Amino acid sequence: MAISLVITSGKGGVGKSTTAANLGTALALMNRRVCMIDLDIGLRNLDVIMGLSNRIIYDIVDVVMGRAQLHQALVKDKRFDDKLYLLPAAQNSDKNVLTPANVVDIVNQLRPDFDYILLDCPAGIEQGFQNAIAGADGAIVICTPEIPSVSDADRVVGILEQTDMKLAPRLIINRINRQMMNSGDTMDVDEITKHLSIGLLGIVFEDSNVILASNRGVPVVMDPEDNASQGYRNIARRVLGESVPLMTLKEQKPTFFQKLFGRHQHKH
Amino acid sequence: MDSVILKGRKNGYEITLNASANFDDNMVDLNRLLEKLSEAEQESDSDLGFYLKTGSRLLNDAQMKRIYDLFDKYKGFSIADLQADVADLAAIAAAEKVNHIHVEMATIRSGQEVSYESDVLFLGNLHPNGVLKSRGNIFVMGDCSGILCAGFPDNEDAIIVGDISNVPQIRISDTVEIINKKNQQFSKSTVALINDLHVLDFDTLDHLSSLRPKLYRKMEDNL
Ligand SMILES: Nc1ncnc2c1ncn2[C@@H]1O[C@H](COP(=O)(O)OP(=O)(O)OP(=O)(O)O)[C@@H](O)[C@H]1O
Ligand SMILES: [Mg+2]
Repeated sequence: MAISLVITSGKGGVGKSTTAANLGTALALMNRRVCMIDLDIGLRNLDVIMGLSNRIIYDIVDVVMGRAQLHQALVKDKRFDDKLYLLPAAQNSDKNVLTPANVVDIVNQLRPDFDYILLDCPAGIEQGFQNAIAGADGAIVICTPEIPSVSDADRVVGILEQTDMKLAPRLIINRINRQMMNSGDTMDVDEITKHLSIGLLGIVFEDSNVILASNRGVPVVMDPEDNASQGYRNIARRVLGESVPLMTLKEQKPTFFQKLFGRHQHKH
Repeated sequence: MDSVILKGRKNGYEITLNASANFDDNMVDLNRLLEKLSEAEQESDSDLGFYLKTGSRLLNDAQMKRIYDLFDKYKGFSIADLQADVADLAAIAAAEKVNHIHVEMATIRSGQEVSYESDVLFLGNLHPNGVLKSRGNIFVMGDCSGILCAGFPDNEDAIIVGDISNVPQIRISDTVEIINKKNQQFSKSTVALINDLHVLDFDTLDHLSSLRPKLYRKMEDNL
């Protein structure tokens, strides 16, 4: 029976869809059966990041409107045998056709066939957000080390705490720029985690390969050497219950100037 | 025998138990009063009904039982009626709430607004864009980076006590103050209040006895 997790943030563009794609892929690489559901009706992305766009025939709204069976709308990712599926969002339909009850219903129909269901939530806290959290057993809250993002995450955590989900929300801090964080130009991991007072699921560094990978439709997590990929792989292991130490914030190779001015030295 | 008052009524006696006295004292005095009355009424064999009033005190079940048990000891005496003065029990409940200080440890997050009828001792975290509101006073010891509203909506005597260095804005009654750390030093003993000129002002806790004597006395009583 699958566990369903919503990936949410309040603020837009902080990496929800990227996280859904990479966490889903990482879990599939670890032999779990995963179904990703894109709930960002009208602005679907998950299919693009996964490189599955051209294989979409039906979408979630088709299922809800009875134009397609649920299994017909699931897009299988052939790179992972039978492990990874996507239920795409509709691109050109009224986003208010979907209700929380629809999402709960779809999630429940999928549960027997999967280990994890990941719900990619739209930005904001309106209907689309309500739909997404309705179907979830737990939430993964994404934020970046910027105050507006942390503030929106705080708002979302407040709402999540008032809907009784089975699992407590957990935090991913995305797009960490080591240098800025080490020099105190952004809030650091401890500050953010303490402020939001929810468990930290993991951190992901700012990494231009994430963008390249999304453009190619090959999630970055498939490259084991990549830095952001390691962040996502660690997150997947923690989702599975392993305890994995947090990646270090230390710069790997300080540049000449950093050495000169001692900026690479760790704050703590 | 001062904690109970006896009055004659045309259909019996009325006894008021003074609510400002201790209930145990009420009982001792009531017993003594009934003893006297029973001596005086020894001759008559007609039954006497008593109308009992408890003023502003609401009796709990155990207290009521003690009163009924006491009357059972006196032959011919019975309770015709037993009630508090205040018709509206909800009002009492509200008053109790106001008199008592609420200790809050929660985290108030962005977009959340938490209101209290009573004074609040806030030990939790008030995040940016969160609001903590009270009809009464607010005492803060926790981390506060959201808005504090005391005396909401129109209690000008309300105060806010504590370190409000990180609070962007405070409101008392209908006045608003944007906090500017540069112009003002705050500490754990900062008191924000509305002064005689109806302006939001800051002082320190050691002046509370002259600033808000009533509150000061009440706080002393409770310590
Ligand atoms: N760790 C990272 N390093 C570099 N770029 C990243 C990282 N994570 C996400 N991005 C980029 O940030 C942009 C926004 O990411 P994404 O679409 O996943 O955000 P979102 O929260 O789903 O946005 P929306 O609210 O619009 O749905 C994308 O261009 C993505 O490639
Ligand atoms: Mg998205």
